[in-house]
Amino acid sequence: MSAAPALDGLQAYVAAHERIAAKLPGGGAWHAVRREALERLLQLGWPTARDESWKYVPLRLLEKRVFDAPAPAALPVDATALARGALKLAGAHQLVFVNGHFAASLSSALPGSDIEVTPLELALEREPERIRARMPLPGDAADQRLTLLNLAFLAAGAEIRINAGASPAPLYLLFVSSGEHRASHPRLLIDLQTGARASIIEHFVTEGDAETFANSVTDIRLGTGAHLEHVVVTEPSARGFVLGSIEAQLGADSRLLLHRVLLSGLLSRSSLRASLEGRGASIDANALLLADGREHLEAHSVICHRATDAKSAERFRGVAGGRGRGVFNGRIVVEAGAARSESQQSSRSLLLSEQAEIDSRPQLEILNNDVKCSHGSTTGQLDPAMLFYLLSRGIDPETARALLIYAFLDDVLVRLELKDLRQQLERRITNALPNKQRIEEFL
Amino acid sequence: MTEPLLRISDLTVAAGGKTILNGVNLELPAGEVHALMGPNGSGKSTLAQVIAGRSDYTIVRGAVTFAGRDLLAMPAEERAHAGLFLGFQYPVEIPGVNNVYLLKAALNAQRRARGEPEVDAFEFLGLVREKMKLMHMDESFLNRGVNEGFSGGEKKRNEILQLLVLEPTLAILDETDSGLDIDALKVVAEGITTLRRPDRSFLLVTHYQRLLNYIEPDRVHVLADGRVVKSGDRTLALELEQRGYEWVRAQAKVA
Repeated sequence: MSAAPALDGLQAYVAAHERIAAKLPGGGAWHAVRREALERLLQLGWPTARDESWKYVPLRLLEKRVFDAPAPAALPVDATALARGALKLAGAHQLVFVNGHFAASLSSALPGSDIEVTPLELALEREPERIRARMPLPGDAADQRLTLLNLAFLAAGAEIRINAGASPAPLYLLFVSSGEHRASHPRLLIDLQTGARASIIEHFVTEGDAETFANSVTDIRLGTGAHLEHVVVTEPSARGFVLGSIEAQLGADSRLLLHRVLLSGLLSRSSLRASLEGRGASIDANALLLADGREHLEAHSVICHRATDAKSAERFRGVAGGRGRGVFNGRIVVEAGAARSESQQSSRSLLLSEQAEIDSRPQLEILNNDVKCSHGSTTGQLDPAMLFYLLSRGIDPETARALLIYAFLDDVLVRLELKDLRQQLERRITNALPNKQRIEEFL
Repeated sequence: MTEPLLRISDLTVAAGGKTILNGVNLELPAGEVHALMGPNGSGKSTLAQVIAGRSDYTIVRGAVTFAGRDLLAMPAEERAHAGLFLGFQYPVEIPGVNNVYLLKAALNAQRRARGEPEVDAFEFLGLVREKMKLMHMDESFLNRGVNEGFSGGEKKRNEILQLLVLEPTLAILDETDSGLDIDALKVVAEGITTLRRPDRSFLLVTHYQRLLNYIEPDRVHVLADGRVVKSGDRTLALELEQRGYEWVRAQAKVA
C-alpha cells in the first residue's frame, strides 16, 4: 500500500491547521468548512503517480518538505527588490499580495466604481455566508486535492467584481511568496458581469531565493457576453513551488482568453478546469513553458463543452533544456448536448538537450457528432529546414538556433492582447535563453 | 583563361545511401547567366542545396570552387558571407522571426564578415522600401514573419527581394519561376535583370524555358540522371521545349 507515505506527507498540514485554525477569519461556519475540507483531503490522501494528471509530478519533492503554516497577515517585504521583479504595465492597477494577504502599502489605490476589489479576509468577516455559497466544496478528482488544501487554509486572496458593461484598466496582481519554507494558499474570486471586459494578470514570484510553496486557486465566472483576458505568469525562485488551479465557468457568448506562462520553479504546475456553460461561449487557452536546470513545469487542462455553438482552442508550446522537464496534459470534452462545437488543440515541444524531457498528451473526448475538432502534437528538435534557411542568409548557427527557440515560444506570446505585457514577457524569455545577446537585433 | 566564378568538378553526392549527383561538371564565368534544366528528379535542387551548404548530403567525391575558394570546406553562413545566394524552390515559413529584421541581420552579418560598416535601421528601411517597390510588394510585408502566410508567388517575390538587398556575386535561383503567373514572372524577371553586372553571375535552375524568354541565358546545361549530359547556347532551351528531355537522355546514352 502506498497510502501511508502519502498521509505522512499531509501530517505537517494537519499540525499547522490545529495551530492556526482558530485565528482564521469567517467565524464558526468557516471553521467548519475548513475542517471538512481538511478531513476530506486526509481521507483521499495526496494524489499519487497512479492519478493520470499527477503521473509525472515529483510528489516526493513536495511531501518530504515541511512547509510552515501561512502567516496570519502580510509580512514586510523589500519593496525595492519587489519592484525590480514586477512587470511594469502602464495604466494598470497594481495589487500586491504577500503570502496571499493583500498588502495595501505596496499597492496602488483600489480602483473605483467599475470594479470592486475586496481582500478576502475582509469579505470573509463581512459576508461569510455569501462567500461560502460562492465556493462549493471541490469534487474528489485527483486534480482538485490542492483545491481542498487551499480551502482548508482559506484566509487570504481577493474577491474581484467587474460591473456590467464596465471596461476598467488592467489589474496586475503580484503574488509574492516570502519566508523560508512558508506555504500560502491564496484564493481569487473573479466575477465579470454581463458585457464586462477586463484584463487580469496573476504574477507569482518569490522574495529572494527562498523555498516557498504557493497553492493558489482562481475561480472565474463570466456573465453573458463578458470578455476576460487572463494571464498567469509563474516565476518563482529555482527552489520555489507554485501549484495553481484555475476554475472557470463561461456564460453565453462570453470569451476567456487565457495565457499561462511558466518560466521557472523547482515545481510549477498550472491546472485549468474550464466549463463552457452558455451557448456561444469561447475559450482560447494558451500555455507556454520554458524548463531549464532541474526545473519541472506542468500545464494541465480540462475544457468541457456543455452548451451549443461553443468554441475552444488550445495551444501549448514547451521548451526544455538542461535536465528540465515539461508536461502538457490537455483534455477537451464535448458533451452529448453540445451541438455545433468547434475545438482545436495543438501541442508542440522542443528539446534542447539529451536529458531534457517533455511529455505531451492532447486528448479529445467527443460525445456529439455535430462537431469540428482537430488536434496535433509534435516533439522534437529545431526544424532543419528553418535552420538551413537562416544559415544560407549568413546568420551564424548559434544565433539561428537562439532565434528559432525564441520564435517557437513567441508563437504563443503574439496572442496576448496586452501589448506592453507581451513585450516584457518576450524580454524575460529572451533573458532566459542561451545566447540572448545574439538575438537582440531581431526584437 | 580567367578562372570561372563557379567551377564544379566531378561532383558526386549521395543521400540516404543513394547516389543523387554522379560526376557533375559545370563552369560559370563571372558576369554570365546560365540555365540549369532537366527533368524532375534529375538532381537540380540537390545541386543547388549542396552548393549553398546544406549539410545532410554526403559528398562522395569532386570539388566546387567559388572565386577560387574551396566552397565545400566552408559552412553555409560563410558561403553567404562570401557572396553566394540561394533562392529557394520552397522558401520555409518561420513564424515569429520578422521578415525584415532577418533581412537586416543577414545584410549586416555579411557586411561584418567582409569588414564593411553595418547599415543602421533608418538607412536599411529606405533601402528595403525601394526594393519592395521594385517587387510590387506592399508595406505589410515589413511586419510579417518570414514567409508566414505568404502565397506561393509572394514567397518567390520575397526571395528576389532578399536577392536585391543582399546583392550577392552568385545567385542560384531554384525554380523561382514555378508557381508564378505571367505578371509575377515578369516582376521577378525584372528584379533579376536589374542586378545583372559584369562581376555577378546567375544560375537559373528551371524545368521550363518560360523564364528564359525574359532573361536571356549565356549557356544552358541539361542535368539528367545526376550529371550534365548536354550544354549549349540558348537555342538548346527552345529545342528541349519542343523535343522533351528524353531526346537529350537518349543522345547522352549513345555518346
